[in-house]
Amino acid sequence: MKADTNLRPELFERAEKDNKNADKIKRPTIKYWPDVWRRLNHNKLAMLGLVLIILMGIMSFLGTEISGYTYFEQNLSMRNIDPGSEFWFGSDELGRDMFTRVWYGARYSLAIGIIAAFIDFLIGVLYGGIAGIASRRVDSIMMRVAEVIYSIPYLLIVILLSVVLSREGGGTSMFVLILAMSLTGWVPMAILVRGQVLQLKESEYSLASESLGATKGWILKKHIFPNTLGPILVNVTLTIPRAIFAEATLGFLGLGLQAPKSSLGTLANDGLAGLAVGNAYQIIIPAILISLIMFSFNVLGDGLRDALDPRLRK
Amino acid sequence: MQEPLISVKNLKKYFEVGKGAMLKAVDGISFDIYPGETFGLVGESGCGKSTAGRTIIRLYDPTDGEVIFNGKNIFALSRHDMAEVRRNFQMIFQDPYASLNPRMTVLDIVAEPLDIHKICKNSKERKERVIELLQLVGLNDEHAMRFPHEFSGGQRQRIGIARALALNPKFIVCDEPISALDVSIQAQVVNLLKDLQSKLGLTYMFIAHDLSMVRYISDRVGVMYLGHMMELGESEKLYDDPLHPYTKALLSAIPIPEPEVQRSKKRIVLEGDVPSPINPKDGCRFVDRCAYAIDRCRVETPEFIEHKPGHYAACHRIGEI
Repeated sequence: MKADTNLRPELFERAEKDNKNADKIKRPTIKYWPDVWRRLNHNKLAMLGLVLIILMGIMSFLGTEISGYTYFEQNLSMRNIDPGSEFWFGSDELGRDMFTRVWYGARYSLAIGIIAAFIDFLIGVLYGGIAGIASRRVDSIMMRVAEVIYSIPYLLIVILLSVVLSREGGGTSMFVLILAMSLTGWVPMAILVRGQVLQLKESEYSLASESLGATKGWILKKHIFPNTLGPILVNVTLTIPRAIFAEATLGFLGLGLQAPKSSLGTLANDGLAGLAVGNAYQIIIPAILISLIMFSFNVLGDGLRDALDPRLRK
Repeated sequence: MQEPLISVKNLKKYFEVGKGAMLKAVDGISFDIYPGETFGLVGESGCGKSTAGRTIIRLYDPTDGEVIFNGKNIFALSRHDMAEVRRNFQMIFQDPYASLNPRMTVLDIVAEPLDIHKICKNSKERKERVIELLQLVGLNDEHAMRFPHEFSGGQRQRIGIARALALNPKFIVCDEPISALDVSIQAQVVNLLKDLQSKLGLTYMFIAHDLSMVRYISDRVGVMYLGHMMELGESEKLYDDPLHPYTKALLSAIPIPEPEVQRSKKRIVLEGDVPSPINPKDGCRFVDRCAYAIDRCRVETPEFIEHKPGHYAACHRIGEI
């Protein structure tokens, strides 16, 4: 059938000119944090990361309880048994249950990562914040000091500290590991916060606030701090995997926790010996877990970065 | 003669840029602003007009000079007294995207001056005042709980205006309030500013580089070049009969919405760029680009004198050219 293309005047009706509602916004109001959460929810990869982190967090506590073995109990008659129904992740060369040991190690790795990131956060925000607010001279002195500290390789610090602080014959304690990582680890956070504060201090809304008669403290509280929160949160999420990886590296190099305590790094180190005699699972399983943790935190951090930026809101 | 609301005398603002180098953004300008008028300040980018506006309301610490308001030099006031005076001065910013905190709702943004000066007793009174202000600028109560990024540029600028009005100021510095907006919205905002002026008896200092817009809104206009005031006069007189060669050149660049006239119009094209304001030489600031420059212009800074009633200019050769 042919469409009616004959446009007769009676087909038209006059549209009401309506200026009253020109400024009307139809979308419902959403508060900031629920909106961040909503956008994070849309990011499948970031949500996968979050779910994996929560699962691994739970398993690092429950996982050591469910197999019926303890992390230190040796059973020399059951050494190097392949993963199966007896030992889910196999047993190591001293006959210890790998399943329990891996989750026990994950507990230490996560704890070290989170605590180190938290300390970096505290020192970095305080130091960077002060440098950002302080006069230009104080700021440049503080930043030069930070750069000098950052230029010391942390591996060197760990080795020195573990020699100086470790107990006779023992490995490096968790305290020393965290201390060594935090000694230099806070610097990137401080640089980030300082940059943010400097930028926001000059922003027009800070100036506007000042012209309204606001004090420095007011501007800091109302404008600068809330707007640095996003980047700080992202940075913390990305510091955690860095710290975990650093710890794993140290553990792998033999500078980690003292046996029978374990972290994912020391487990990988122990597993290296197994690789030579065909027990590859002893290194593969901790390595996979390290990768999973890294992956999860990194995608979550990326997702948070996008979700926290109100300009990317759809 | 009417008493000026604000009297700016020999205002200077220098910025130190490295060793021995001084950026003389504003270098000794003087003018009066009368109650209820709009004082336009025009000039090229970087000529110091925004710095002048910001220094007058003491966003920057002045290097030298006085600003007399209510018989008092506000540069000499203590921090405490300044807080009181500051309520009379407000500012509307250029970039409506940058001047509103993205993390605050419109309610909190407009209420910020009320909060700072602890004016409202409770949150109900606060909200009522904010809605009143929003309605004044053509927005309404349902906008209050929204965030800035939900608004268009023109709407954001109106939010900025509502914030500036919250303390019932007498004097508002409009720092290029329309240059970030598109043309159809510019007229809307300028007309809103005019309406508010007659409704609330406001005095504006209107900083801009759009000469036609300045002519439309201003009663008197000052022309700045490289930190100096070049010419000042009632806007009709200044536009019809510019005295200073720089003003002449500026005005010749205004396009005329009439093709015939526009085509036959002679433009004065200035050679070169604005020289650096860092450690400027003595003499007239405009000398390097002026077609009428003589040796005297290089040596002696021309004084800013009244050539016709209410019409000031700083040029050695005004009678001759």
